[in-house]
Amino acid sequence: MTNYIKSEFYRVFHTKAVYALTGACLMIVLFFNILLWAMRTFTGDFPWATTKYAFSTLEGYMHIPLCLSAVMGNVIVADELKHRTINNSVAFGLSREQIYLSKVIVGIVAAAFCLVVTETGFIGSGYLLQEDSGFAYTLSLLRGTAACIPAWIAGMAAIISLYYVTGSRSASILSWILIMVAVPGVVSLLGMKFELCRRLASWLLYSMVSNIEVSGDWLVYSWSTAQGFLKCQAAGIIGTALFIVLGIVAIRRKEF
Amino acid sequence: MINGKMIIQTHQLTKQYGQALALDHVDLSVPKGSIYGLVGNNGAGKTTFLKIILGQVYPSSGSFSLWDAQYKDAWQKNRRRCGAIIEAPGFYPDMTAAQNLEYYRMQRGIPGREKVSEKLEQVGLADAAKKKFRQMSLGMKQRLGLALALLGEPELLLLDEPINGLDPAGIIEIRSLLQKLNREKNITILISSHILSELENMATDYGFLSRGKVIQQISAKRLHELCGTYLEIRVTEPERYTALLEKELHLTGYKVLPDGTIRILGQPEEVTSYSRLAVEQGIGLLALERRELHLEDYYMHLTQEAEL
Repeated sequence: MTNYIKSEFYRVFHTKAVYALTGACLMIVLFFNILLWAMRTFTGDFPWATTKYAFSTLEGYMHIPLCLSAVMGNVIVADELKHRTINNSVAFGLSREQIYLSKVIVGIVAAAFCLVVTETGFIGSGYLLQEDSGFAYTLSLLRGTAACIPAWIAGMAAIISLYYVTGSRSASILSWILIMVAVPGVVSLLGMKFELCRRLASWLLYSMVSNIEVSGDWLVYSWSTAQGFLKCQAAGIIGTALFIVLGIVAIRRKEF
Repeated sequence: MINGKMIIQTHQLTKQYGQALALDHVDLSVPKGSIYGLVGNNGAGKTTFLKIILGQVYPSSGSFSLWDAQYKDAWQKNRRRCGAIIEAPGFYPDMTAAQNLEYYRMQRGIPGREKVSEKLEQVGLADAAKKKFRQMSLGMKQRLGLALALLGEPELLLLDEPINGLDPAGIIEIRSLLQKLNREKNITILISSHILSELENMATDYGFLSRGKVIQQISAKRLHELCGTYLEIRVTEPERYTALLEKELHLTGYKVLPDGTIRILGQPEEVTSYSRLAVEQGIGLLALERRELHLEDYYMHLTQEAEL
């Protein structure tokens, strides 16, 4: 399994996809900071060019990295059923479970690389270009990131599993959107009418990472309280475990 | 009948896809050190057989041993001693030939980066090392597949129609490479093809598959004996005549075709002894001819009989 993981790192970091995705994420967050800075510089009266606004904005979009985890998962899977590269690994005696788990591990590391580069670039450029509103907002962003990491891992495990369930890249993406985005959306809507649905929605990953309420001067996220933070982590871990089980069952049954 | 120590042995190996039987109670034995030609028409079950041995497909029933391994974990361990090309070679399209091989070298824990260039050189792809897989011709892809199969010095090669897409010079080159590997490194090679002539100058043993069934396993030596000259006899009473063949001439190596023609294979005795036998027993002799049987004809007869 160690050798398989090493080879996957070699592949992932010798092809462009991870760098392209990381570069695109970095460019977007840098552009955002540059835009705020430019507005303040050229208009003179622009109250949002602060680290408070910049960091809170990113913290309010934690569902975007969840969606990006699916993109990263796709990079890791690399459509290997179509290219039949998995056949070579199985023919060499690697177990299907080892292959699946290695993909998830490599995906986590690649996503962590993307996250660290993007967030470091964002926070660094924020401090360079915006008015410093205090460390509390940086801490809040980092806390939000930490709360959502298990959910993002679950998102990645989900796309990898769904690839082996459906056998195609496009079908896996569609089913991921259905399971991870559409279902929580519908359940949240129903939650406005039914208490049971509201409770269920509060455990669904997409709803959890995109839930924001305004409280005075602060935005309140699902992870703002200690209990909410733990709930986010627990939901992510449960989601990851469920999708890993699904993935292992699917890949065990797969014939190439 | 094939003798010697077996690398692969299957017992009643069966694979069913829905209602279709891809493999039907297959018993095959691949001897150590042989070049085993697995011959069958398209859809005969050759690829399914190889895929089961390599763990890509699960058998529906039956069992097999790979060396001495007879269960999942041991199969997986012994698969590390194999190299294979099944169907079209699978590689990452955006990686170069060298990167693809390096990826699998790392995955297989094979020490020494120089192994990649060695194998590319061995299969004639040294100049294409930096070419992306997606830009390669079919023949180059096939060669890269062979380079992968040879990576890690395998003891058993399983090759599914490996010369597909190669030009005539490439076919000769790869064939001599495989023969050299078999001769010098004692690598057992199981090679499938639907064209018998591709294997004619190479295989030491043959297994013929038709519609998922083994119709014959035979050594190349015995096959060549059978394929030389044969006699074709037509008599008025074929049943009585064949009984006499066995009783008087102690002959068992014959076949009676559906139209009653008797075919005596192998090294038939003098023609006169067969005509004399008919005349002495009062059986009308309608025709007696000495004929040549080529490997392709033999195979065609074999498959036609199996399909009847």
